[in-house]
Amino acid sequence: MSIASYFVSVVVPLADDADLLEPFVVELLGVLRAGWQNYEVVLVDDGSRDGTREVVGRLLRSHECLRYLRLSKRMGNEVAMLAGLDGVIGDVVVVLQPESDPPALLPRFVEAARSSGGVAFGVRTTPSDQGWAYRVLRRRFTRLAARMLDLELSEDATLYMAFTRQALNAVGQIKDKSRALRIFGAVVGFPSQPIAYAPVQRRTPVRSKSVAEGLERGVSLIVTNSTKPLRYVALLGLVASLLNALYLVYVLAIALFKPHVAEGWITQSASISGMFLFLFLILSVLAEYVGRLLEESRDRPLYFVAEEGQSSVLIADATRRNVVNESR
Amino acid sequence: MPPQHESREPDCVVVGGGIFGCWLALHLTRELSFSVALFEREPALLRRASYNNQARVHNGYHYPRSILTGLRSRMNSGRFLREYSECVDRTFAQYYAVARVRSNVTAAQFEQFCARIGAPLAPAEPYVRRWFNDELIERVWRTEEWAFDSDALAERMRADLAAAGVEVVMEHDVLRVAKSAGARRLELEVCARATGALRGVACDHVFNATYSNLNGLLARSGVEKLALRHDVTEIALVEVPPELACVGVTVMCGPFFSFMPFPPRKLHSLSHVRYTPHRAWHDGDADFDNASFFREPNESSFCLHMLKDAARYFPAVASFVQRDSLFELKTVLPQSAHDDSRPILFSRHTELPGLVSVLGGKVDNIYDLERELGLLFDRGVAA
Repeated sequence: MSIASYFVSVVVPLADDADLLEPFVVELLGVLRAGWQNYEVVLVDDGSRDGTREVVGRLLRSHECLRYLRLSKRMGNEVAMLAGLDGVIGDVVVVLQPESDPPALLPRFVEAARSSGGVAFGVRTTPSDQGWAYRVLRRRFTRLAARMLDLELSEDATLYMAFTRQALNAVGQIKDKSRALRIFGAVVGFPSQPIAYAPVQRRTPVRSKSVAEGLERGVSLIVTNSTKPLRYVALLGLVASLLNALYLVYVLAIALFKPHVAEGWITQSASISGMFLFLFLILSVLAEYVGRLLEESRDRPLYFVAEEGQSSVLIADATRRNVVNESR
Repeated sequence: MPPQHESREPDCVVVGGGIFGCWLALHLTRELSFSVALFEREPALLRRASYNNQARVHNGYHYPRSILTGLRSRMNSGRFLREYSECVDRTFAQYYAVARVRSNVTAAQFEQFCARIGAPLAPAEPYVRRWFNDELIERVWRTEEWAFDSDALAERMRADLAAAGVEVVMEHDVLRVAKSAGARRLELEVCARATGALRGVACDHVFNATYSNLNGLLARSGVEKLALRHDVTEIALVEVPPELACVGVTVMCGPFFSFMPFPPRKLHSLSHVRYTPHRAWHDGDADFDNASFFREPNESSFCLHMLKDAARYFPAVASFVQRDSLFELKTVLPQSAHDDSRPILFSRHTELPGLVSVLGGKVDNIYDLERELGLLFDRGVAA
């Protein structure tokens, strides 16, 4: 694709960011203007109530190539980014967070996504400014999610990301209600390139994120994206029923070979272990079915096509002619 | 009875030779028996906004949120098709599609609306459906909607005006309209663009049909301006692959796009709700004025934006090639800037009795003027 028809879109989710918006947008447009002929910036307002709308209104009058989407109410950062990504028209699309991400790195992100033909994601080199509890839990979660979802996720990956149109279209096909762009970017399986950078701090003090909300989101993400926890529990049920079966054998052996047994012990033990044997067996089977149901009901394509090719020689045998010599 | 006149001065002057001006001049001559002169600043008729638009003969489909507008549009388009059949290209298939996300109308609502206004709607053929991106497009229908050929229409208007005996004066500006104290008639000051020569014309009625320049004539005549909003618009002219040569597509109803044949150039016009309007101003805004747009219409094209967005919904758009762009001022009443309704403005100016400003929006709406003219001249109202 020639540079003249090459289009870069930038999505910026906003949530009560009136204080830092103007200098950020000016810096961003400066970088875009210097780098490309065709670009757009989509500001997605996640139901701000601090006058963000008025600031954007002013910017729209004085700056070029800006678009503004205002969500009806606070839907969360992930949904705001999705709304922006659904509407952009670029060949490469970059998402960045106004609070922490430096626009100066845009060319590196765009180039990385273009050259790899997939996704580029930022990796922070300096520790996050969030509280220690949030930081520890986030790292734990990322490690857990990587194992549960069979993905390679960097623990320090940020939401500064770039997608090619193909990768973005694949991400767009994931309709899950519980969203995580960072994870989806990896789920679609396109080549991804990490870009290490030091986030800037445009707001002091940093807005702290709630540990409770983070936990809730983490649990919901793993539950919607993976049936592995359910499978582990099913396995546990199977082991428990096996132990109960062994115990039942033990009780029967006692009944047969031991002469003096307290009255009622055998019936009670046998009935309890028998019941638990069936209970755990049934639970394991149920868990297996629930897991299957979850996987079937997820509205997600089975595969994403990254590229299509075709050999330049269409006919294997060029000397072959479309003529028959006899009729059979 | 029309008033008697001794000289060759006309009863009525129409300023502006667009579709509305021409139709007005014809109607005044043929139906109301006035002698009429028409002044146009361009060297030919129908050169500005009457040419630089999508050339769509609306058939109601465009107004799913307003039953009345849809119904009026259907009634008028039928008559337009009958009277100007040779100026209308009916050789292509127009498809309407409804988008899944961010559409102001759902597929079910659109079907219901078309049933109510009686607009024909058939499910698109399966091979047509496959042209669209299923992720983003909910449903596609084949409709009956056409495009007019503005060159053919200009030729027809020219012939009709000549046959009716309307005096058509090209490349003249009407500078001002005035009425001296005690005078019976209105006085026009007219300027030949080539020589700058000025002359006066007297008449009883002046129809100001200059679209985006309405307020220019009013201001020069010392009449209070109308509240008007102007948009610089871009319609891209593109070359489409052969299999789409006889296909028009309109995606409803929100920030979407439309492409359809543009008969006079044998290309397709491409417009986009987000990228066709470049900038807008109201008359009186300090930053912009219409004169500077007409002097230097140096707009940069947003065709690439239109193509990139449209290709998401209709992948074949990626192979469209831009050949040209039509830039024009689109003038609307501020109250209708946010919806698709385009009521005709028919405004008498009390400061200068006899002067009427007319602003139309859609080509087939000309017939809505009949009633207003009847009221103006007290001729009883035609059905």
